[in-house]
Amino acid sequence: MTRMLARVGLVALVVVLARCDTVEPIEAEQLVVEGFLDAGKPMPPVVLRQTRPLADPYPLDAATAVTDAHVLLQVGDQPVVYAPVPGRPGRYEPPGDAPAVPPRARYALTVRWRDQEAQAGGRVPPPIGIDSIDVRVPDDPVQAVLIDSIGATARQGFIYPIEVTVWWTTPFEAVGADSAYWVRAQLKPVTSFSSTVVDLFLRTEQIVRERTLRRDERGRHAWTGVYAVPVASAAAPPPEHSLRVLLLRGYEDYARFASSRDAPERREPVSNIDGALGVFAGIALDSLRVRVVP
Amino acid sequence: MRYGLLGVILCGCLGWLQPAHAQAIRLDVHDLALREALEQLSTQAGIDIVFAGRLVAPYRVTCSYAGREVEAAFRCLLRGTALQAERVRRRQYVLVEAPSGAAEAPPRGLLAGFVTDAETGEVLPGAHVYLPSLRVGTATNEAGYFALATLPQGTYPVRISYLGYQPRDTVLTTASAARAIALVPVTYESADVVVESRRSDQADLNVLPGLLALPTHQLEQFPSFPGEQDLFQALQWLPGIHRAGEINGGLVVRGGATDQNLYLLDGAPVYHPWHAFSLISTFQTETFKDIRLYRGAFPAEHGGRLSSVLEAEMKDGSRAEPGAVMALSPLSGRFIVESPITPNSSFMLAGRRSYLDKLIGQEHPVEENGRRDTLRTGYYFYDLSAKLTYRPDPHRRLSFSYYHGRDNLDLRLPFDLSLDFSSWLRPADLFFEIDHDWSNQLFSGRYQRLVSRRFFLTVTGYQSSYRAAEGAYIQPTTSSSLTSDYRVRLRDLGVKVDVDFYHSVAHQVRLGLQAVDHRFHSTLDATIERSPGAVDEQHEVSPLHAYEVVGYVQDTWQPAPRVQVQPGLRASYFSGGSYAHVSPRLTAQFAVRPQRVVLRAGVGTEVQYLHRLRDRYSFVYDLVSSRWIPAGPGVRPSRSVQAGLGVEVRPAAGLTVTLEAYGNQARDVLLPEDAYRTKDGLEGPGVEVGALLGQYVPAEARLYGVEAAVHYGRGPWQLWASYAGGRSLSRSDALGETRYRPSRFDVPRTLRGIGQYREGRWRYGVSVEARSGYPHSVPVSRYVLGDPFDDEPVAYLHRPEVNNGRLPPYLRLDATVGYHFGLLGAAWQAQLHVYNVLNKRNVVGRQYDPGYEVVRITDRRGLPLLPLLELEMTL
Repeated sequence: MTRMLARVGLVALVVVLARCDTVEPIEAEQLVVEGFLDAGKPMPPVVLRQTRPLADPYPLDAATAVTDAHVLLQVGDQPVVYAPVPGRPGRYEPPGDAPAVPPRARYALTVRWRDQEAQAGGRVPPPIGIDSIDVRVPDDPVQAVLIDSIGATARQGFIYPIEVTVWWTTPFEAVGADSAYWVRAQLKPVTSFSSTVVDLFLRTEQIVRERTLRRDERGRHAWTGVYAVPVASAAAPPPEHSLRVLLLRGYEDYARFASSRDAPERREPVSNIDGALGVFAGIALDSLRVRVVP
Repeated sequence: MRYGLLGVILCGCLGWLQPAHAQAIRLDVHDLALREALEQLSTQAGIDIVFAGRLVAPYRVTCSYAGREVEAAFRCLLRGTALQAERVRRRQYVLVEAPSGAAEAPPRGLLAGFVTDAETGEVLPGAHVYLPSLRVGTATNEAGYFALATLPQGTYPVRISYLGYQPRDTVLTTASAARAIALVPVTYESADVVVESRRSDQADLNVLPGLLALPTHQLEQFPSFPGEQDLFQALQWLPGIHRAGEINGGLVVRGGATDQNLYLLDGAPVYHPWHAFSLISTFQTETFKDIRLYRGAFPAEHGGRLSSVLEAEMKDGSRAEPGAVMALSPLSGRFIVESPITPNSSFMLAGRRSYLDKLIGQEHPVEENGRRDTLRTGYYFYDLSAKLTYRPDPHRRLSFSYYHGRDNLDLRLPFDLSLDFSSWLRPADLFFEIDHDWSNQLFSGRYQRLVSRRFFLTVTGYQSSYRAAEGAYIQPTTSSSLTSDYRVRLRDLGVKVDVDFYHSVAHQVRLGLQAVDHRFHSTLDATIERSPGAVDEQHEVSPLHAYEVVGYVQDTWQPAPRVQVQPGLRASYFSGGSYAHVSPRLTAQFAVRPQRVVLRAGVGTEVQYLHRLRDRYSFVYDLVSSRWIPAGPGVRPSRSVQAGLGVEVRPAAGLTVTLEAYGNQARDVLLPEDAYRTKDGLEGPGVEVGALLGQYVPAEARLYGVEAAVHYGRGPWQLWASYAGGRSLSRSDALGETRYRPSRFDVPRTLRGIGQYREGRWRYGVSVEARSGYPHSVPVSRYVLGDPFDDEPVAYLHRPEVNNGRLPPYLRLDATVGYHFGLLGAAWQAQLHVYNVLNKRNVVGRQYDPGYEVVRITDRRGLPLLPLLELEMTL
């Protein structure tokens, strides 16, 4: 009996020692929701996709779209059942003329697909509008290290670091001085410049609590960003180019999403949807496009 | 509730104060040899009777007794003889000759002594002292002192043994003063000697479940990368111990976090025991006389961490003759000098310094077109250890220890580095300067005094400080720059008083009191100039202060020859947050067959008041330094309940097999709030404690596993093999986790082996490590997602859980060849260590690059084959 127990124990030990490592889990397709309620704008489309296994390509067509879902969006007291848009798989829109999204309204989104139910909710922030911008181009280009990492491939070139300040007015009488709003500002020049080290020192985008930003004597909030335009030599003039300035106001759920989406090789964005991946958030967006003519 | 249950168990074990249940005794002997009558009594009463054959041989006895009183039964049996029975401890009696005066109480005596190294005079803590006649034993304390109290007066044969030394048999008398007993060390060169920790009928008394106590000369034989004598490199060959990285990073003990280990050097804590970016430790193996690593069952005097306590005691310095060791290894040169100063005093002085900066130079003056600059490529580390010991008489000992270790990185370089020095050794407009400096400094004084033969007093005072400075100036364009200065200071001032009370053969009690003043100070001054109109500044100061008071008591109780129980209680108060905790603990040992099979078990609770945290946002600060945050209103201390069970088997001479199982449940450990965040920008939330704590969330941790180890040492062979199987899991309510997931250092299986063979002057060694890969967050699917700022959606990889997968298994084989020779009157040892003989480039990191079509996987590989040479000279 003892010998038999010993044998069983030995076999059990071998099984335990030899068992495989944790295998990579395999999941069923998951629902991916995308939509942004822009204050004052018509009710937005909702885009529904599904995850695909890593081995499969991800075409933006019917293969990855979710076309048979039930989508219900309630903004304020108004429920709207969304319908798929023919010819645009995965895109759902409100039937007929879409009503405008009222600022500060509460919203709730429910999506049902197969056995999955996704829900998101929150508030729409008050609108935001760019009052003015100031673009400062230095007289001469500066020397810059043009590298992706420190090492033998490093070389030097010249750039114009261009400083842009954006002003906007916050209706404090309406939202309160200590609001929970976050602001995302971005400069999108139509130029190609990339240098890992110099990029750290530029500021083409920032996501920050609105209340922490400086204000001028007129009570306007201001944000200053810096982008770079490369030139061929120390004597080259700054090239004429176009610049798009974007300014967005949102709540923390959008801020968490936006600040976690810029390293796709390392992570996926933080989702604010229960039961699905993706994002559905209230925002207020303004943008303008300027031609920078030094 | 759990702690309450533990308290009940503890109180139950403390029930030794109550008499044992008496068994019925019925003696009816007529003219029977006393020896046989005693055997009857022993069997019926369930007691152990110790006597010398010559004492009982002359007597034949007649006695009739029925009852339950052992003493009355003895009186009946011994009536008319010149003998009496004396109780040594519970269920054990010894027969001695009765004193002449019938009324006087039988006198009691005490055996005491100091155990030392015969060659150096160093005291040997933890040596095993055993009285075969009574089958009782004890272990020496930190001063090498032992005492066995309340023994019947007389002379006793005593066996002293210690791992790595030849056991010694001697005779001690209760009437004599504490005597010094010297043990002769065993060298591996003396073949055919089996080095065992004991050769007595009793198991080691000072061994707790999970304790690793190997002699330093044995640890020195373990492979060490990069050929340095390094304690932590040696320890990682033992079961249940890993490094956080392939060759560097903190110690991971049984899956615990790297900040859950307490490193004690001569009683003082070392907060950042690392050199060379955690490649090697500040602990040089050969400077220590005693090293103990407690993994999970700490004695009551130790606490403050959840995972392990490493206790290292520096050498006092040889009391016999001067000696010196000098060595050169791939990274550093080192020396150790030890010598007697006077007959009563000695010293040890050790130093180590890296020499890379001496080879490539620290400063490089450059000139081009009349413009001058000085580029810098300086990196060095050094250690300086010193100990002075003064023994005015055998009963008093005073020692002062000093340690200072420092790392300094000083760079001023252009960005376009290459092997072609001429291309960048010139004045540069765009460059970076890095000035990192971190150091540990430690003063410790210890006074040990044998107050009386039954009281031993130890007073330890220390100051331990850790400083780190991270300075940087980076200029990637002529109009932008970063200037930063980040500093961390931590200072501990502590005093500890221990009293050993040798109550009786069965009880030795240690009482202690400790008070520590902790001061923490962090500053950050950073200026980021992006353009003339976009300048960000950060100037912050974070001073913190807390004190900690600890009291503890522990009894080492031997209720029977083969049983030892150690109940202990540790009470602590921490001023930050006014936390008070009582941590009971209990260990027990049962020698099933004293020379063959020993069972050990332990259970206890621990509390950790300090957390080591690192900013997870900014490149500017917290790069190489350790930032410790005390518990306070915003962060609770971590607490754990741990249990261990082990068996040690010696089936044959030179062969030891150990098997241990352990479990540990911890709460309020801190995990990153965002596991995927890495330092990727210049700006961070700053050094304020709240900003740092905001990056972490409280969590629970669960560790469990089994460890099996085999050691075979006989003749020229030394073999160690171990298997460790276990899990390290964590779960955080704050992260919405409903079930446990693998923690960062979860390694389910590790197999290690070291084989060494000596032949003449040569030594050959092979070592192998095979283990599961570290946990890794593996994507399982792909999707795309848009954003109002983007024209096209971006592809992402979905990782449903943190650490849901694992890197490929790790396998490495090392080989060592050593040669001893004599030259110029010195003993030399040359050693070639080949790291990763198979040149297997293990995967140590993996990155997934998403795209619409394919997912590209990029592996980060470990080190290739590396030959490393070390040369050591001993005078």
